[in-house]
Formats: sequence, C-alpha cells, structure tokens
Amino acid sequence: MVNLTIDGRAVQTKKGQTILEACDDLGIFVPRLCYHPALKPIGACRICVVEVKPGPPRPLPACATYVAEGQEVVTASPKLDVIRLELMKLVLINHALECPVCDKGGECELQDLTHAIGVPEVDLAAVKLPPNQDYESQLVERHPDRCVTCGRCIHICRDRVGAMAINFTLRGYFTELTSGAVPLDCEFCGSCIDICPVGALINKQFKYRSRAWEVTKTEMACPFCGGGCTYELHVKDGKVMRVFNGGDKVVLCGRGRFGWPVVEAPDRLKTPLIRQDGQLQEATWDEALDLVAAKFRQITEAAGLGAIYGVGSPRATNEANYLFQKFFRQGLGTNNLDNPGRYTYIRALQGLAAVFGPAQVSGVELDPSRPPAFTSPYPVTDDAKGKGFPFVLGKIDDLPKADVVLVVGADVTPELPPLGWALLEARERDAFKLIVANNRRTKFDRYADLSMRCQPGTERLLVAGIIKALLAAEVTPAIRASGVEEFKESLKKLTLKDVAKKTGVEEAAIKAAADLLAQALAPAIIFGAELLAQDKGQENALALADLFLLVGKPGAPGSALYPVAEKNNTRGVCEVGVLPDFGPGFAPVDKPGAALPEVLALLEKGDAAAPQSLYLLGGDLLRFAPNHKQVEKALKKVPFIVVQDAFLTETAKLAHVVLPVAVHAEQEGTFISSDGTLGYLPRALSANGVKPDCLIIHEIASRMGYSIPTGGPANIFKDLAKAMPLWAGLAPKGSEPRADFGKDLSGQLVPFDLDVSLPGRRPLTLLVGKSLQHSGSFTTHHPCGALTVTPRAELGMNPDDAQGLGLTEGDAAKVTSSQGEISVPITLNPDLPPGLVFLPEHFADPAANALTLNSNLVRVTISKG
Amino acid sequence: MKITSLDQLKKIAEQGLKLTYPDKIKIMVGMATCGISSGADKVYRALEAKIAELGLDAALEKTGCIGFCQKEPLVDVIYPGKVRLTYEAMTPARAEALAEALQAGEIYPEQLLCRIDQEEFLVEGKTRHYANPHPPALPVDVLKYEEIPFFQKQVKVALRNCGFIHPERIEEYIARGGYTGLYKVLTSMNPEAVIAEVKASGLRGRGGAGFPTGLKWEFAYKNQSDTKYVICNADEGDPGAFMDRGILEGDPHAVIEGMAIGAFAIGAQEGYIYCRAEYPLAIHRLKIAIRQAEDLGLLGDEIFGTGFSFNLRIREGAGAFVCGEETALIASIEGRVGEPRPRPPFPAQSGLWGKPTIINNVKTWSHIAPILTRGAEWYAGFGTKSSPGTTVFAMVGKVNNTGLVEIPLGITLREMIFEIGGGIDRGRDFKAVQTGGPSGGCIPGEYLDTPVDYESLGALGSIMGSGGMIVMDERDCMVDVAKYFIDFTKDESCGKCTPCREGTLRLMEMLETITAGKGQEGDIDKLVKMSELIKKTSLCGLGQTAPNPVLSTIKYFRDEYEAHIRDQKCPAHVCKDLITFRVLDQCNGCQLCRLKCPVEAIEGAKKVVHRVIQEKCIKCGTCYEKCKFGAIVVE
Repeated sequence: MVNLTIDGRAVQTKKGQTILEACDDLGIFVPRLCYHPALKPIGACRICVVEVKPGPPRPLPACATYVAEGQEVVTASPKLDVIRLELMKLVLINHALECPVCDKGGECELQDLTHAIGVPEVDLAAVKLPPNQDYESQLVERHPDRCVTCGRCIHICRDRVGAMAINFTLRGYFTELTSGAVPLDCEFCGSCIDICPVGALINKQFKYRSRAWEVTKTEMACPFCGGGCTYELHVKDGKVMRVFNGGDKVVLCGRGRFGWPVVEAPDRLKTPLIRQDGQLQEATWDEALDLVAAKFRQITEAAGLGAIYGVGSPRATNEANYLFQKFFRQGLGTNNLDNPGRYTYIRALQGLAAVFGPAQVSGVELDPSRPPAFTSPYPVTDDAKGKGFPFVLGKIDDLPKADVVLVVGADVTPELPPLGWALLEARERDAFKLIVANNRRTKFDRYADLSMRCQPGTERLLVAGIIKALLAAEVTPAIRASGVEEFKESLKKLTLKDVAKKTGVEEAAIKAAADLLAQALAPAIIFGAELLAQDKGQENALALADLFLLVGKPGAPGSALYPVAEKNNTRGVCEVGVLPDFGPGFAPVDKPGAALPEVLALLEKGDAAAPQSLYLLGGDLLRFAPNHKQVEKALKKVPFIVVQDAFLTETAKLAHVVLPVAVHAEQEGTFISSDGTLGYLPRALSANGVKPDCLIIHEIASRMGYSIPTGGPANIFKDLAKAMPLWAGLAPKGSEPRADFGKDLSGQLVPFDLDVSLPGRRPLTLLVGKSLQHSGSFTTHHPCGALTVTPRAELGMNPDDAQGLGLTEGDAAKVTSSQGEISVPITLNPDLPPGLVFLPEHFADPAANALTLNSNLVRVTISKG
Repeated sequence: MKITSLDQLKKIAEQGLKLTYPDKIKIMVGMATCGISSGADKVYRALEAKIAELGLDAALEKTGCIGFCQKEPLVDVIYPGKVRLTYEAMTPARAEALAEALQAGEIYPEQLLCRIDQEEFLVEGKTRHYANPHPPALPVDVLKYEEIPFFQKQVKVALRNCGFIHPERIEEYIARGGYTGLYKVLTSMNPEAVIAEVKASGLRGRGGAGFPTGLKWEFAYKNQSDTKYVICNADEGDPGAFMDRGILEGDPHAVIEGMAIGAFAIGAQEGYIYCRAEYPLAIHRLKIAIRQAEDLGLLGDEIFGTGFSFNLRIREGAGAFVCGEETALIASIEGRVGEPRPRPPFPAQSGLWGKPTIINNVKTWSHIAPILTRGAEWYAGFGTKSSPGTTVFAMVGKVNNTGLVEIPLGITLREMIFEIGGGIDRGRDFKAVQTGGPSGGCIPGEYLDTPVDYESLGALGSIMGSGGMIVMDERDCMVDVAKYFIDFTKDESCGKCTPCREGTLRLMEMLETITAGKGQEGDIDKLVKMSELIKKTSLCGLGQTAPNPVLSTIKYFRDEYEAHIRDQKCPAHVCKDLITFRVLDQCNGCQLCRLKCPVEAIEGAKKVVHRVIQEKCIKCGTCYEKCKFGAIVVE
C-alpha cells in the first residue's frame, strides 16, 4: 500500500495505481474525458490534471501519474478549475452542438462534463471543420464533427480488439477520425461505439429509435457463443432498441452487439405446427402438446421406453436441458439422449477425461441456509477438492496470467472472441509468448512469437512431434503422471523428421515450441471446435491432454486447457447431464444409452433397435451434423419427430410436431460459458405467444403423468444445483466470483492415434469452419446485424489456386466431394495456403455439410460454374 | 575482412592516412547539402573535367561541411607535406582557374579563405602538421585557420572530422582514431565502467532537454530484459537547424561508433537511426557507413571478435516534427501514427516494442567515442560545471557568418554572435536572438552577456534546444516572429492532446488579428493566458514549449505588441496590414522602382516624382529595396 494525501486527506492506495484510479476507488471525483478503465492511459484531453507535490511546477494528468509514497495531491483548486474550464472551452470550440438530434444525448460524457464543470459560454471562435460524416459503413455511423479526439475508439480497436481498423488522419486542429478513404472494413464489433464519450460513433441499429433515457436496461448473458460475455439489453415499448456494453470492459463481438434482431426476425415461428396430410399446419398449443403426449405414450407402449430419443440443446438454458434429461431419465426411465456437442465439445471432454480421469468433487457440503437465486447451495470451503478433467479447464480471466499459450487448430476470434481479447491482454506482458499452430494464417499469427503452418488435419501429429521433443529433453511433469513408459513406447517409431515432412512444419520450429512449453511457468493450450470437428477430434483432444499433462502447471493461474465450447451453453448442456452415459455433474449412469451418431447410423440402416421417435430441443441436425445426405435419410425414417425451435429449420421441416420456443431475453435461465462461468439470463421481453423450453417440457411431461420440478427457472435451478457439487461456489457472473477449488490432479499418459491421413485423391482440401460474424445458424436470420456484414456463404480460396482454376473473386465454383456437390461463389483469401479452401458452416444454401462425411475436412475438386 | 585486433585496426588506419593525405595534390570539395545547394556539385564536376583535360596529377575528393556555410562552396587544396589552402565561394569558372594554376605549379590567389597548417586528431589527442618542420611561407597573403574569427573560439568534438575526411570512406574515419573507442570499450571495459565514464563526463542530452546521458543509460542498463534497443534521433525538424544533418553528412561513423558503445553499455543488440526523409544525402551516407562498418566487422555479429553483437538499421521519418519527441518517434518506428504517449513508463523502462530503450540525439552520440578515448575528465574540462563539454549550434539569420558552430558551453551569446558570427549583417542593430527553434524563446540585447548553457538560457524563458540559433535585427518584427513559430507548431501539433491541438491555433488566430491591426486591449493578456494553459497542460514537449516564442516576445518586446494593438503600427515595418510605402519628393524619377514593381503599383513618368498606388500595392518591399536614393519610405 502507498500512503499519500489527496486534498489534504491522508489515504492509502494500492501500489501501481494511477492517481485517477486511486481517486475513483476513494470516491473522489476528478473530471475526465479521454480516460476509460478498459484502456491504458491515453493522456489526450488533459482535463483530469491535478496538482502533485513533489513534481514539476505544472499540473499533471491524474490518469497518467502514478501514486507515490508521501505524495500530496490536490484534485480541486481555483487554479485547476480555471484550467479545466479553459480546456473544456477548447474541446467545445469545434464540437458540433447538435445534441437534439445526436444519439448520444442524455448519455453523453461531454454533456455531463460541460455541466459538471459549468462552462458558461465558449468565448472563442474557430474555423468550422468540414463534417465528413460516414453514412456508408455498415452498422457504425461516423460523425467526425462531434469527435473530441480523445482516441478511445482507436485504442480499444487496436489494443483490446486487435482490429486496427480506425485511426486519426491529418494533424493538429484538423485531426480527424478515419477508416481510410473507404468505408469501415473491420470486425464490426462496435466496441468503438460504446466507448465513444460523445456521438461521433453511433450505432445504426439504434439511431433515431429512442432517447437514451427512455429505455429499460437489463443486464444479461450474451446468447451467442460460449464466451460468457454479459451486456445490457435496452428495451422500449417491448421492443429491443440495442445491445449496449458501457461498463468497464466495453468490448463485445459483432454477434453480441448487433445479433439481437434475430428476436424480431419475421421468420420466427409463432404457433405450433402439426403435420397433417404430409404438410405442417398451424395448430393450437393444446392440440400440439396433446398430440405429442399421446404419440409418445403410444410409442413407448409399443416399442419400450427407450424408443424415444432425445437431443438436448447447447442454446437452451441449463434449466431447460436439466428438465429435458429429467423427462427422459425420471419420466421415461431411459438414458437415450445426447446433445450436438457430441460432434465437437464432448470429444474434448472425453479426451481430457481419458488422461485426467473422471470428475470428482470432495469436501463440499450442502449449505442448509437458502442461497440467493441462481447460486449454488454448495459453498466452497478450504476442504473442497476437485479431481479429474473439469479441473484442467481454464477460466478466460486467468488466461492473461499464462506465460506461454499454444493455440492449435483454432482461428481464435471467430471460435470464441473473448479468448482473443484475453490473448491481447496477455501480450502486454513482456514475458508472454504465443505459439500458433494452424493450417492457415489467422488473426493471431500477427501476434505470435512462433507461428507454425501445418498441413490440414496434421495438427495431432504436430502435437506428437512437440511431445516427442519434450520427451527427448526429459521434461518432468509437474502433475503426477503415470503410464510414461508405455506412452514413450507408443511414440518410439516417430521421428521429428517424419513429423516435419508430414505436417510441413520445420523441425526447428517444433523443437522451439517444445522449448517454450518446457520452460513455461504457466503454459496454456487453446483448441477450438475446428480441431474437434475432425473425425478423430477426440484423438486430437487426447494428444493435447497428454501434452498438458507433460508441461502443465495447474497451480499457476492461467495454466490450463481451453477447449472452445462453441455455443452459449455447450458446456452447460453437458454438465447438466444431457448425455447418454452421464447424469448431472458427470455422474455415471448405470445403463448408458446410445450416442447420437450411433443412433443416426441405426436409423439410416433401418435397424430394429433404432428409436421410433426423436425429441429435439432445438438442434438443427441437418445443418450442423456432418454428412447431410445420411442425416436426411435417417431422419426421414423416423416415424415421429418433435422439434422445439424458434425457426422452421431444415430439421423442423421434417418434423411431425414443431413447437415454437422463446429465445433469449424472452425467457429466464442460466448458461455455463466455455470457461465455466454462470451466465444469468433475465427475462426482458414478453414471449408473444411462444413458450419457454422449460414450460413446454413440463407440459409434455405432465400430460404424460410424470412429475418433474416446476415453479419457474429459479426453482428448477435450485433442484439442479443440488445435484451439482461440481458447481460448488457458482454464482451468476458479476455477483460473487467463483471460488477456486483446491486441485488434486493426476493423470495418465494415454497413447493416441498417429495416423493423420485424409482419405481420397481429390486435389484440394475443404475446411468447414466458423465465420467471424455468425454463431451457428442463429445469426443467419434477417434482420440480424451479422447478416448485413456477412450475408452469404463464400468459398475462401488462395488467389493462386483460383487463378489456376480460372476463377476470380465472386465467380461461382462447383465444389465436388465424394458426398455431394454444391455451387458457391468464391472469395480470394491469401491467408489460406494453396490447396486449402474454406467454407463457413452457418448457411443453409449452399450447405457445407452436403460435402462432408464424418469430419469438417474433406477432399474436393473445384471447377468453374 | 573482419577486424579482430588493434593491429588490424591500425592497418586500416594507415590505409586511411594514405587516402586522406595522398602523395600528390588533393583537392577536396565540401559536398554536404549546404555546399551542394550553393553549387558545390557544379564546382566538383568542373574540377573533374578540367583535371582530366589538363591531365593534372591530383586527387579530387568529396568532404563534409567544415561549418562555414556562409562561404560555400568551399574547396580545399592539400599540398602534400606543405600546407592546406581553403578557397571560398567557388564557381565552376574559378574552379577551372584553380586547376590551371595547380597545373602551372602556382598558387591560385583568388578566393582564399585561410591556410591550414595542422589538424587536430581529437580522438587520439594528437596534432598532425602538414609541413615538417615549419609551415612554408606563401607568396599570397592569407590568414591562418585559427586566426579566422569564425573558427577561433570553436572547439570541435562532435564536428571533429567534418570537412576533413571523406564521409563515404571508413578508412579515413579510422585514420583519425575512429573505432578505437569502441575497441577500448569492448576489450577492456565492462558496461558499468562505460556508464560511469559517461556519467563522469557530465554529458547532457544535446537534443534539447539536457537530461544527463549517463543517468539515462544507467536506467536502461538496470532494467532487465533479453532485448534492448538504442535509437539515434536524427529527426531534426527545427526551422533553421541543420546540426544533425551536418554531422551525418560529414561524419556518419561518429554516430555509429557512439551508438555501438551505448548499446554495449546498456546491453542492447539492435539499434535504429531515425532520420527524417528530407535528408536523403545523410541517409545515403549512413547506409554506406553502416555497410562499410559491417564489412569490417565493426557492426554485426561478434564485433572485434568479442561476444558483443550489434546491428543497426535506418528508419526514415515521414515528415512529422512531433516524431522528434521520443515516444512519438518510437511509435513511428513501430509503424504506428507518430503520436506521443504519456510518460512514465519512460523509454528506458519500456520503449521500442516494450523493451528498455535509450534514445539520444545525433550530437550526443557523436560525443561518446572521444569521451571514452580521452576520458571523462578531458571532456568535462570544456564548458561549465553544470553544462560540461561542447555543443553545436546552427547559427543563421541576420548574422554575417552563418554556419555550424561548435562551442564549449558557457561562452556568452555576445561572443557567439559578434565574434564567431561576425556581427549583424550590413551593420544593422541587433534586436534578439532566438534559440531552441519553435520551442525556444527570443532573447533581447540586454542579455547578450548571458553564458550559453542549459540553466542560463532556461532562466531567460528560452531553451538550449537542439542547437538552432536565429539572429534578428532591427528589421524583424517580434510579433511576426512569434506568429512564424506558432504557425509552425500549429501545423506540426499531432492533434492528440486538447491544449496543443486547439490552443496553438487559437494563438495563431490571435496573433493574426494583432498583426492585421485588429487587435484590442486585453489581447496580450489573452495570449498570455492561452500560452500558459498550453504550456502547463500539454502532453509532450512540443506543446509544453510551443508558446515560448509568444511568451518570450511578450516578455521582452511588449511594446511592439502594444504598438500593433494601440497604434496599429508595426515598428519594424514588417506586418503588411500596418505599413504603407510612399515616395518622397526627393525622387528623381529614375523609374527603377516602377519597373521592378511586380504588380505595377507605381506610376510616374521619367524624371517625375513617382507615386505608389496604395490599392494595388502588395507591400512586398521591392521598391524600397531597389531605390538607390532613399526616396521610398515605409510608414
């Protein structure tokens, strides 16, 4: 602690704080304009000047002056008042005073500051600058004549988002914010809008729709990816006005900030549909629910309780998914259920579980007192110990504390934007090293200390090479590890030369990566859905789990594995037990049911053991499961399909009953983010005739005579959390931070498959992956903001490849694989190496999975047309 | 060849001596930018052609600027074993005549500036005499180098080699003791000892702020990091300043050697020279110098065969004055917009790419090698106690001798202007001297006996600055001077911080109002108030010093401001809105003014008193300058 006096008052502050931060902590108001807690000091506006002794004779900016022992700080004096007043006059001199039509009116920091400082008049005149508004850019509108040149937007874009899309141009008085001579071409995250203190950058979705003070603000978890961000939803007259994140962090991605209009999409389902004479017809809720209950009863009576197969949803809340598995387990008495994470995230959990063992929690006890809503009834005590795979998973907030991060097979920002922001934060530390191993150039290659470009699908072999180099250097694992000898044996025949040849990564780079990891004090490993969606995704996870067992330092904050749970509740749907082999909290079940891919295979074959009915909680199987043709064939054989979804998806079109559900903001509940934080979703909008998932499940269950908990999500959470010692200490993000378990980790090195060959002889490799603007298919509905930026699927291709095929930007290409053929416009992308083409997974037409078999990688032939 | 021993270095020195002092007549043309702009390239080409035509057995060489820019183009002739003669204001015709005289075995008697009988080899502390034992008598009457007032009081440390060596030949630099300092440091000293020596010398940053160089190095040395950087700030941007250019064009190795020593001292492996792109010749010569040093193993890996490696790169500035500020300079090297950022952290803690970095000016770097070879005590023997050593000024303006001047700190302004500078042009009255460029202030006549050092100039409201010195006479309007500098800073303000971005333009507008005769009572107070605000609250040195020209002119020449405001008069007859030209009755009607007037604003027949048509007159002053009879007056 540092002792100093501020305005004559003796105070203690934290070491390394600036005077402004100290004043904020102490509740002393110092006027400021350019300072923002999300950014490093900019020092441009000078309005926060204070008198500091000892120090130079001039006043110093509080935002950029650090506290020191014995310092005397004066934050308010007649002298300072004059300085601030004069500076404000200078700021106002060229500010377009169009407050009546400015979107920022009412929440404008300049307005507030002018009021606080009491600027009576601006007795200075100046040449007016040309307004140079930018009305062309998508989503963001720019008014340089309102700009106060604070630089916040530029700093957040560069330092926190890593996009570097805007900057100042010209000099002196004529300094102007610009994106170059062209409209914005950026990540469209909109963080610049919310950090702008004035109305120089405004949200086109919000413009002229409401005054800032007219909206009702609700803080909630973002419903798109597994990043676990929270934001404010601003609602007026029952309609969403905007998403706003004005707090300390500000940063959101484009999906979060501009994706909300899916709520208002005209193609939202509003009434239940029942298939009659081969057509889906509108029906009442009672008709639809009665039909479902009757059919379910009929099927179970005829074919047994296991004849209904359930697919949970990584979009639905924990409460809905928990009820869903309860419906199957307690109601039907079957473990025949799974969730779409089977194709990605579950593979990561299985790989990790093989090495670090099953989830085990000890030393936590149920708190007899009533915990607050949506809070775990298990407090974390000093005795709390966690064992097994959930305890090697890292928290995003800790990632900046890691000193070496290895990214394997992930384009970090599209996979999980907050991971990217955490990496940018980590980079600010001198000792931080980033290793990126990818099949193509991604955003973070620019920031990487070591960048390895491997052949598509060979990532696991590259990891094996790193492990081989580590073993050669005889690293001693910090975690108790068994199976070392057998493991070594499994890699005996592998040579680095071989690895280098097959992966295309030089031996020296592999060794350098191994060196960095071996010396790391807190290494972390990030891998994404892109790596897990390969047919041997689980082996990929296994290899990385082995690697972490060798180099991980779980005692050090940030040293963890970061597999990406891609959707808002991908992790939650697994943790609450929508799995055939585990119940809530990964408790093993007696008679495990069948996993989703097996069920689809049974269905396709027309096997007698195949289920007679599917109950799908969202989950557009036709869109996300690889091998579209096979899935379609399988689904068409199911006698009775019930789909609960907000949209008439491809899968819903094959259903017999479609039940329209509420989406985020229309229902209450919780999510578990990729890093395990609990996101709370309050209800901010009326459901307009559709029903929340929980209610639908409950109504079907009660029609079938099953008793499952009800009383709203808070009540369901209570029931759920009781079954989850794994969630001990969990509370919604923003309330209590989740307490850390003591970790009692050990592991077993498990050999993994070294065969990375990709079958087929076609000349190009297609990778199906994520687009920055989209999240599943959720964001592909008009008028979603994401759709205005990335309106369609385009096949990314190396310019040389395109030239060789006689294709140019925008040309239609015919893409053929062993599974099918599609036509898609191409876009030239030099980040892709020759031989690799890329197609986003989100769109229905053309559907990327029409080409894939059992992996997101497939060999293709491309021709014109 | 990579030099790994002192013997090898000495061998190169011998080669250099032969190149510098060949056995035949050597003609040297001063080919720095100042020389070239005065026509040295034409002189050089004329000499080249004539020598070939005559078959004259003479070596023709280029050299840097010896400092006396007023007299350019300068040509030197070295008669082996005898004497060196310096010719001033040469033209191609005179050069041809010189060649012919040489061919005839005669001494060309015209344009002789001085004779040089010996040179100082400063780094080694030796003197080399051209003739042995006694300087020969010459048939012409010519002053000795040391008798020329311009050179008399100078002590050349940073400029030690300028005008004496071929800047594109490393051998000639080595011949004058070059790289012996680096050799000594790398083979017999540790970083602490180097820093101690620099600290003991008392050397202060010659970029302007005067921060003790050794202390800065010590901070960077103490900050642990696997990577560190040294940077040479060669983004010289002050109007009328060209010290750095002179050194880089005349003696680039002096900077390179200094940087290598600095890098060793703090533990850096890489260095950058940030040079403004407007100095193409300096960059060209630096590139040559770096390549030559690399070829000899004096830069690059394992210098002198020791474990020390140092690589040097050049980064060209894109023309922003503010990039001379160290944090903006770093941003520019990193490829970002050249804007300053708040300090701390100081570059010595977190500089280029977040690593400990020291940034020193060209002049500071070129002092380093002599300090290490001659010792701190020797260096501290020059100058004053608080400002030891020498410094380079670019003396310009209304002074008779313009050029680069290196003086021991502590000599007075009067000595500089009236002895070295040779007094005011055309015998007019001295009015003020402006030091420190746009960050400095104007010092009036009553303070001419002030010693030139950091503290004394600061006390007068000016600064040492990086070495610009502009002398003004009675015909300079001080309001106009202030306006000139503010016009510069308002253009060069990067626009980041409020007071500098908005305030400098306000100052400009107020000064324009005053010089247009529209000033009002209270305007001076407004100027002072705004100036104080900018000074007190600006982010970087540019803004913090930008109002100095305004404040110092108000302080010392308030009456001129008042004359502009109250009487609508410009006492120096400069501000066009406040002056009129009038023809007196004594006009004899010679018509010269009428013919020379660019806008036909003078009427009058031959031998009839002329008249200025005021509506047409653009107040350019041509008529006033041209009238041989004093018949035109400014009012």
